[in-house]
Amino acid sequence: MIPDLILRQAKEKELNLIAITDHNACHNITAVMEAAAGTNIHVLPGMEVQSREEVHILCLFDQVSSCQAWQEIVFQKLPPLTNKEQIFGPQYVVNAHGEWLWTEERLLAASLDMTLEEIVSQVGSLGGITIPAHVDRPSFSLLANLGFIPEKAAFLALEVSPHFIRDRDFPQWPQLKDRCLILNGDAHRLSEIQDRTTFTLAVPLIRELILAFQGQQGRQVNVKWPQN
Amino acid sequence: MNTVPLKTIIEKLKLEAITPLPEANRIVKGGYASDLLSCAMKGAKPDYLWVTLQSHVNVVAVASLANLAGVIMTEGCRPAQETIEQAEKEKVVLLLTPLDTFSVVGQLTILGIRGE
Repeated sequence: MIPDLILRQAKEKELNLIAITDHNACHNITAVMEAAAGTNIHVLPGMEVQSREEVHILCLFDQVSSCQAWQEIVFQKLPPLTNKEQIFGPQYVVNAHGEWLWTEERLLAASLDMTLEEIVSQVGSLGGITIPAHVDRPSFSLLANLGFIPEKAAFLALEVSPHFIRDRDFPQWPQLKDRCLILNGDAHRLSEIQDRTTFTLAVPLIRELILAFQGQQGRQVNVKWPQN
Repeated sequence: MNTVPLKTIIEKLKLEAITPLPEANRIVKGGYASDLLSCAMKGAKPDYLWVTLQSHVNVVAVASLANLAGVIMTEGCRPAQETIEQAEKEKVVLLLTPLDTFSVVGQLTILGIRGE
């Protein structure tokens, strides 16, 4: 996705907080932040990493430098394989206008040699937050791969996909009922960008997100749920 | 239904038991293989052996819930100490092998173990 177009779509959707979470990498974050400069849209640097258990986890940070420090660890934990463009597509790194800068050759569509708990702990120590991604999906998800939410990881929020229908899906996963859920698009295309989750925050920082996930100090999360 | 003593399977497949084995020789009544725990929760039946390369602590909970005869962790996966301790507490038998799941299931089939 082209950074300028991501911002245009976010503006059309009246979003003012977005996160860029490429798979196991964050090369394109600075370009999106550059594209957002001068707008009222705040960009959180992040990544969607894949744990040893093949669970996808969103990692969000306040600072690009923290996200890049996390990426260095991630790259050490990825298998030393080269991307096959005909299967996984080219892994372009672009500037704010979408012009090609370079191509990441290492295979990013792989699992880290790190457990879910190790990821949660490392991201936390870098000042970031972890959110299991699209937990309602049949693949690469916490609930599909690990059956239920492991208590030790102590997630404050879980992400569900736009396919999540509360009346239908809560009986299937009763453990989700007591959890703070956010709904995002896992957007790989502009058209998949969602506008269903609203955060009430004082400032767009991780510590504020943490308060919102817990419903503390007036911070909160509201989701406009998809209907049948 | 063909049944095989757990100890015979451990011996024949040269599995490494990393948790204590039950004193009475447990009988294995069937087998199940998947790396998705949500599927194992439905598919693995009491007294079955579950073959997987997952080694997360949740494996122990699934094995305990279903009262499995044991879990074979393949491809040299070695669980964290936390997983082993939890397994000891829940009396879940964890067995390790450097072989991959395909080979293990093949050998179990030769020994007469079947799925549903």
